[in-house]
Amino acid sequence: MNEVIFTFDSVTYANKAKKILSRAGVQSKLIKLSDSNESGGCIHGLSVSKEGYYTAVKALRELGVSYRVRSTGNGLS
Amino acid sequence: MVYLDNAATTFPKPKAVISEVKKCISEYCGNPGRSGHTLSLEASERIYEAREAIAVHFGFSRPENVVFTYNATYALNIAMWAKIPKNSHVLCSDIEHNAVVRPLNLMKDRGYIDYSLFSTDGDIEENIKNALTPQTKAIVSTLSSNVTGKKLSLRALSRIASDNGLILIVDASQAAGHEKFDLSKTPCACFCAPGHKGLFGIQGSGFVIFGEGEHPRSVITGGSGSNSKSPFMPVTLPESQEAGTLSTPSIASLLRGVEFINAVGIEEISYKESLLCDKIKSGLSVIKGVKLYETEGSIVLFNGRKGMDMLLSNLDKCGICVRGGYHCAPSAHIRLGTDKTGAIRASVSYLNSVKDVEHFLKSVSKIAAEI
Repeated sequence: MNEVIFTFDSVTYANKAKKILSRAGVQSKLIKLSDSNESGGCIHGLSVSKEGYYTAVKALRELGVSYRVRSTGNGLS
Repeated sequence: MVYLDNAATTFPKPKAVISEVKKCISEYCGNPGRSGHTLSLEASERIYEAREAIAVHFGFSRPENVVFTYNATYALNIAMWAKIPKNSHVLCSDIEHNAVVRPLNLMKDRGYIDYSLFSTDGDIEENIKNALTPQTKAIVSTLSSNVTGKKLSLRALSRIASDNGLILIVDASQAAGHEKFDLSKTPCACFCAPGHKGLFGIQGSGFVIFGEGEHPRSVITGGSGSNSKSPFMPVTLPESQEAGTLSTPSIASLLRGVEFINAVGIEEISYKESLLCDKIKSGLSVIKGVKLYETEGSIVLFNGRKGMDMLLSNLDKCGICVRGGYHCAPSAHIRLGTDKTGAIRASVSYLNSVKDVEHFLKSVSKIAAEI
């Protein structure tokens, strides 16, 4: 697995995180996950390469954006 | 044709606004936040860009607190029902539009609140202090009258709300896009505005900016694209207030409208509007048979000495678009003494020209001489 998936409370927060990551130099792809029970139904997330993971976490934490990381099979979750 | 009804809705729109609407409806207008395909996701990204642009434009740090509505009336209704507690007393100004007065009357009629007016003559802080009761929990106020352009200071309203622990809901319908605001310095619980007036978006756009730390109860409920298994709305903004499909073309147009304003600059816009209005006022003041009222900002209010209707219908025949009547703001007309006659409002935008004004004045002069 070469990517990590961050999930958010809403599509707005997913888009906010996408902007934050872009400004931090991390490319991400907005996705919708409809098979999740995490949030009582459909949720939105960002797919980020594993190389960008730590920069992404730092950027999101600095700006106080809550997220969850889905199991990736590479020891990062 | 000369369009001088910009206080009702701006026309024309900047080219970038028109292009974006065309692009949206032909290239990316999926249902935002509902599906996982490219069009839906792209629409949601554009909507977030618009939230961010609006937040930055108004000096606010949380784009997620920008809630999109279909116009300022929806924004004000949502703000009032979401924020005003039951059994409270509310103060509103004596120059409000029906977008404020009618929701307050409905709330009063249902036994939910009581409300009274504060005077906009003189020192409004003093007037509000004098009108406060132990039950007063909120102030709902315009920032600029749609009849006279009279401005109410957000700084003063914000200060008195903060000093007295009151919820402040403002109607920026005639102020957004004409004045500079910095909500980080002049906080309020809800800042409501249309997108299709001074901000140059298309009709169907409007918003509420909820203040820092606000967790308003949902007013309109329905699908939100997330938390779908729950029978309740999400609790976080903006989705807690945005039930149903958003109008992506309108919101995308608003994004480009705000960018247009930022590129021109509010000071430049305000300067040009004042210049055009001063020219209109000077011209009307010397036309026999025309009565001019005292106004501010981008609005000029006048009347025919022999009544409004004849002048109004002849202006239309000359290709002049202005608005006559009571402008959905009866209390402002009572204050002016025009509650029996109504009046004609000419309102300019940055996209009007001196040539427009000259054509308008020539037409009024000709009609006044004939009637």
